[in-house]
Amino acid sequence: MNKIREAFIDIKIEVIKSIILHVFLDTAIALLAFNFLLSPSIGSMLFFIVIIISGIIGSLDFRFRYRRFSLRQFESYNPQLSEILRTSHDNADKENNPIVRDLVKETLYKLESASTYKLIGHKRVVLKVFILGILSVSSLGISIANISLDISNTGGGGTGLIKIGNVEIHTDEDIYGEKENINLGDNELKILLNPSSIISFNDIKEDIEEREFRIENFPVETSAQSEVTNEEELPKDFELIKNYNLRVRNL
Amino acid sequence: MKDDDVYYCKICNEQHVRKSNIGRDHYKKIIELDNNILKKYQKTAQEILAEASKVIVGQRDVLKQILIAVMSDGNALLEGYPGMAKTLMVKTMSDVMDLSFSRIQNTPDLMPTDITGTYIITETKGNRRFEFFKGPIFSNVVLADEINRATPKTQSAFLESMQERQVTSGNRTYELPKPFFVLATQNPIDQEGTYPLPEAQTDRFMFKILVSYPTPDEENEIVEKFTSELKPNFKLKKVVTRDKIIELQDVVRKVPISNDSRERIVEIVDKTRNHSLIEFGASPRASLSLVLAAKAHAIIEGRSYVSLEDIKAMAYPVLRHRLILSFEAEKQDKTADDIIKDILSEVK
Repeated sequence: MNKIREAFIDIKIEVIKSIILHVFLDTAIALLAFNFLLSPSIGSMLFFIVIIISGIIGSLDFRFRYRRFSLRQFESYNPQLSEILRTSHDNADKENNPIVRDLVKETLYKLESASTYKLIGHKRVVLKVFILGILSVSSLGISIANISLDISNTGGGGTGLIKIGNVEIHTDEDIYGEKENINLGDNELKILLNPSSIISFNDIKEDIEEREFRIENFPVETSAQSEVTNEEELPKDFELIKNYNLRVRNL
Repeated sequence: MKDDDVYYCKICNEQHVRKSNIGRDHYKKIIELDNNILKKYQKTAQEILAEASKVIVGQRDVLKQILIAVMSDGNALLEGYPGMAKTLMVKTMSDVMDLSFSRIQNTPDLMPTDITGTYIITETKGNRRFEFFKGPIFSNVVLADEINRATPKTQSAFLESMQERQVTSGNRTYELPKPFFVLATQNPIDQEGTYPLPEAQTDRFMFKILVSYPTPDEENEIVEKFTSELKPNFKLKKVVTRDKIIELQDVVRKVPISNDSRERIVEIVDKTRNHSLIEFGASPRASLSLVLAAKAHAIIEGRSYVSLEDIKAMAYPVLRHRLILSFEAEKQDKTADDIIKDILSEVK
């Protein structure tokens, strides 16, 4: 009876393998299809979104396929096992029943000729690979077409195009930078200058040498001398203040 | 030799070389498969049918259904026009199976005690006492001929014996011999002076077997066989003993059935209860009978499991007498078999 249980585990492994193959192909098709369909509209977020959508599709596909699979399905691919496999499975615990033992023997014998080749479904695999090829070539072709430069075209007024000199560039592609900037065309560009030289002096903290105050360390008197080379024209009031200050200094 | 060229055989527990002659041991195992327990019982069943066919020309399906009823420990009701060898079939089957046989010719004046037996005063050494004299029901095979000619009171005398395999007379209960089958016949025409079987009693019959006309070739053979110079005198071989029949009944119950097949059977029976052309559907007893009948059919077909084919083949005799058709069905001239066919076509 252990042999039949082992056989069922083998079948399950084979089934999971075939499911993984199909899920991989389905996910790849979904990824390329979304990339192909959504690339003009979602710009730089493309890769991230497409990966997420494809991942969700892949996991749902796996879940659906795994749940849907039954021994009946396996039997349908191997008519010689029709009903016998399910009966063996459902009665595997009846070890004392001689007819069940005979049934298990028969099942194991017939399983020798069972094929997982049909389970994979080579026609579907070939079809999916073919679709993958078409999608890959289509995506590549569109990418090539979109970056071609048409120098002879002097237009440039249409949507999605910008004319730089004689060169027309398709602006739909985000490799040319921010789409909004490119689409400005002849419109006035509002520029907000944000000078990088504004310095907040409060934020500057220099290392200040702390010196111990002593009477002998009293600073030597210094005087400031104007470096003004040309004659300043000062108002009269300023002259009075200046003289006052000079007098006070000489006291 | 590469590893890919060798494969492990789960039958022999040995490795074989791919694309080469498989070893002798492998073939030995395959022969063992052919000679498994089930094949032995299939052979027994085939021998019974072959022996009965020496007397009964054609009617292979009818004989098979009678045998299935016997193997499933059930009772069968044979319905057919007069002269279709219904009685001969039952007699032949009991002869082949080395079982005690009694025949009850049902008539309107037949009393229940004529079937079950009665107490009679006996005298031994001056002492008088009541002694129970067993009726014809105390046999392995009871042929209740033209059962619908007996009154309902007498028909009900069969009820306990058919279901409980016992007879109660007075305050004592007597067990019937094992195995025990009631094989009843009834005539679909000649409705005058008949008492249709009550539903409770028809439900106790596992099968209702329809005996149809033979084909012209078969009829030609019948005529030749039974009208020759020498009176037909068939020496039938006793193929199976009473114990073997009981063993066969035990084996039938051991035939494995998948959960899917069991669910299908319940689905079929359930559909009879929700069909627009059926007034009253089949009872759970029908599900039980269908499972057992499908198992017995699988043995005859040499299968060690119940398949959809077995279920479909047995659905007609198991269900046809358990369905009470609506007025609408009669208006549409639909028979129970037509409706069963519709139901089976919906089951995958």
